[in-house]
Amino acid sequence: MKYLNIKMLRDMKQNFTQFIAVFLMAAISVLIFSGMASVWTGLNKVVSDEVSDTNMADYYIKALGITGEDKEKLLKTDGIDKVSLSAEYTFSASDGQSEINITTVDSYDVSSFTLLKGKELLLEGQGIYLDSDYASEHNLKTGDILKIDNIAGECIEIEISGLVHSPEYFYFTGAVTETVPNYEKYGYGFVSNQTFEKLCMQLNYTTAKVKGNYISETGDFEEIFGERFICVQDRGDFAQYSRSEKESSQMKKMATLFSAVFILLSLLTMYTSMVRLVDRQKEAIGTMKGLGVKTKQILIHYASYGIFVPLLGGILGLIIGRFTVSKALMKVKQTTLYLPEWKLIHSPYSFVLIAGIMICCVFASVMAAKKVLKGNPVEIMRGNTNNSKMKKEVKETSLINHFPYGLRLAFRNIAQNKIRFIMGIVGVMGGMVLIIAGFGVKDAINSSNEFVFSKQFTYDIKGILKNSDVELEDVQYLYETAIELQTADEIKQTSLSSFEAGEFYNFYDNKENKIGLPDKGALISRHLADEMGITAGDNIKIRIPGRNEWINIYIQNTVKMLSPQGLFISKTALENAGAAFKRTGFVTDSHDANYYSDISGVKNVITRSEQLENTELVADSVMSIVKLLIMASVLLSVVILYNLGILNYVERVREYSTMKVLGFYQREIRSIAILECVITTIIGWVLGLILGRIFLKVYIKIISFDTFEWLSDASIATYVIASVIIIGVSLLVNLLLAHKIRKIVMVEALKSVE
Amino acid sequence: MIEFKNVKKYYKMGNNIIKAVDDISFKIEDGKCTVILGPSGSGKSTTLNLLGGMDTVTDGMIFLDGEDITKLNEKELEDYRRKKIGFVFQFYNLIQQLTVRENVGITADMVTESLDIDEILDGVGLKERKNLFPQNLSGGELQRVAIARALVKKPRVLLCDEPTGALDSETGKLILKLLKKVSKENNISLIIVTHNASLEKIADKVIRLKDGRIVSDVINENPLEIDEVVW
Repeated sequence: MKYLNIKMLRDMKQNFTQFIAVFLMAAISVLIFSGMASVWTGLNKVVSDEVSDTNMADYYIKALGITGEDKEKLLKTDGIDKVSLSAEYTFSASDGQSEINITTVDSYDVSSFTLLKGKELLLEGQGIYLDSDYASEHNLKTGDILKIDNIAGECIEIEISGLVHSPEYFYFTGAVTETVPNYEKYGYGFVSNQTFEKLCMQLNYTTAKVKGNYISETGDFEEIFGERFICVQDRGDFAQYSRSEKESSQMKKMATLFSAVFILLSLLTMYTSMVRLVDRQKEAIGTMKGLGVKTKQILIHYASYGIFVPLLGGILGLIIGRFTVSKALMKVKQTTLYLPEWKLIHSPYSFVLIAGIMICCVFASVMAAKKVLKGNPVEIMRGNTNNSKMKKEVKETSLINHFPYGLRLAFRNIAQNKIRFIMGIVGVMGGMVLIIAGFGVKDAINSSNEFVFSKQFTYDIKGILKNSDVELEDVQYLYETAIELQTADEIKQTSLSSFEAGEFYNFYDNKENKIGLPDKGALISRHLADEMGITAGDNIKIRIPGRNEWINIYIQNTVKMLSPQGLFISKTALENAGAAFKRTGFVTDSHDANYYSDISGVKNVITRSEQLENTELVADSVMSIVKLLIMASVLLSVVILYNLGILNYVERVREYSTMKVLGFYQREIRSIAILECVITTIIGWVLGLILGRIFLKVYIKIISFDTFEWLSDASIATYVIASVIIIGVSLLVNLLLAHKIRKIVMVEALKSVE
Repeated sequence: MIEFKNVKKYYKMGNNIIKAVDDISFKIEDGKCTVILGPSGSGKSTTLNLLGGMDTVTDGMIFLDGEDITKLNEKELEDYRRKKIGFVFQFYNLIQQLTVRENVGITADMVTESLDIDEILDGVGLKERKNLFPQNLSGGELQRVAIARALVKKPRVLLCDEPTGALDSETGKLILKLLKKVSKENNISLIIVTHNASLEKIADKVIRLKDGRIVSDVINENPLEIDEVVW
């Protein structure tokens, strides 16, 4: 075996291009997948560790004035193990520049927090355990004094006892108008009951945080709390936590789906490369067999071709992925998620992928070697093991006789090497699909944002009210609330937006015809409607927090409302359905933002352009992944096309040199050589355009958050860019091959004809 | 007239200089059959390659019809090979994806005044086999296709590198007969490179090479007919 190993190393040197292609494909596939997988594996681990360490609640029961007696009753309910009561309120920092959401609890049995710095956690005491990200943004440390305005507007000084992180604030935006975390404006903290009373003047628990495997049935809670019961939410519906799960799941879906196509392409290319590589070793295989080397040894020798190169490529991908893809992705995710720490953990699937690639390559080499080994040594050396698939004769009347010789040659080459031809098509098509998908996601985000902030919403300013009795001039009042939506099959938490008469919210049907809010019934966003199987004309039921009864709503139409997802209903229709319209916000194009933010009944204000900027920030997080995928796709396309081109060249070099000797001009040989590539590229390109469009639609649907529908219309530019890249790479490869053809040494090429 | 004047072809292999052809000079008259004879490594194939414009000299001059081909650039060499040289390989080197007729036709298309494809196929006895692919032909038939392919463009010189090397003696004789016949009919200079000494008897001129040098250059006044030669 020692000499066979030496032979293997020399074969690798001799077939450097093919081995380096296999190496690169393995490296790129593993780099992309493992790079991303490390981030979501680390994210999931940190989240699950903190959830477990802090004993985070499984359910949140919202009710008014929850008492110790209520808690006792809850603890007696089957499936509930532990309960902590909490009250929270958002106070302004005394400098007026930021707000802090402060929580107090009766115990930290459920939903504690991670103490990152500071004194040991105490239920009693005067200090605050402050959000560490907020503290860092405001240069605050333990022992410093935090000045907060209490409910009466008095400045209260509280010492910072510790810096903390809570899993209940993984994705904390501070206000419903904000879509991304802003540590400068919003923070959170935990205080003792006494401190809370100093701030709020009273203590009313409004949330019971529950640990247990209780199955969500509101009936029991209505019995306990009666009229005071508002709603019950499980952890998955708790947006400040579940966003981390959603981000992780989105990242996973994006990477997995993309990598699946990517890896499939690489595997197919690696498989054919290995098969063709071994196939060219007929003489060596025949000689070895003739010399008495055992079949098993020959097979092991060729199996080793498929072990080392992909293994080294995979390991390199794993290492580089951690320092490039993982770091870049983690940096972006850090802008949208609050985590106590960020860890990169290799996913076991990355190792499975490396093993899979190796198995594929080993299988390809062994099968190819087995096929060659079927004949006796002389037959093998003569290359007679593969009976040609060419037909015997061409009839005089055959249509092909009317084609130029070059085209006949190309068609027969294709017919004889169907796998090679299909692989070429798959390579071009796959590259097109991946690049269209990559750029298409960018288009989807841009066009969706454009639609939302220039067609759906035409207000300049959106504000949130502190109290519903505030009177403002020239505004359209809104009532926005979370609701439970019930169909015959399921109940889902979603949102309801109700509007007074106005022109700042625009609704469009699927054909983008503008439609008004009806006086009877509601409109539903089409993404949610699709998800829940709701169509125009259906009757559904909704339940508003704080009200026990279900309200019947008739669905007038589904609308192209990308964000928010939910029900849209006019004030009149809502009141006709039997629910009250409570002003929670307003939209307007009068005055500027400062004018409204100075009004005492207004909680906060955001402009449409600020909303767009925030959305774009979220989009950047997705784009960071997409950019990596685009880069990898282009690189993969280059490797696949170059590899296929080189393989075609190597297998036909004798043909080209014969032509050269016979007196063919360079351009004639070149045109014959590239004709097959051109046919392959054109077919792959056309299929890529069609499949790219379909793949993009599926891809966008899968990676969309359920709160925002992304449009999947790729721009013409995307198709043009993808085409230019793929056709450009193909041309470049052909130019390189043309150069190689020019450099053919005829004498060398025609030696050792056997 | 073909003339080699002090032609040298040296290769560098590691630190050694290999003298494949070392200062050879000879002349070949038009329309004659010349056999270049010698053992392996004698430089006969190199000589053929140099004359065929497939390789370049280290030193010296090669004339064909008074034109020094060692002075031609790459493009001119392409034209030279295309218009003046026909080449027959030991192992035929046919394009497997083209039929017999197409293999000849693709070469005929290279020149403006080619011979008639069907006529030449008839001439080499392959009229009935013209629509077959090379894989369905015997060695002799394959070599006949290769000859037809080389002749169809009416070359000035037909270079044959061991044309019977892969054939049995009977088929070899048939091929040699064919080569002599068609070259004579078309006034083509036929140059055969071989290590088979039996072939010297059929040639008008025999050049013997050894270690890159000419050891003899003899005119054969009475060449034998092919059938008279003992293989």
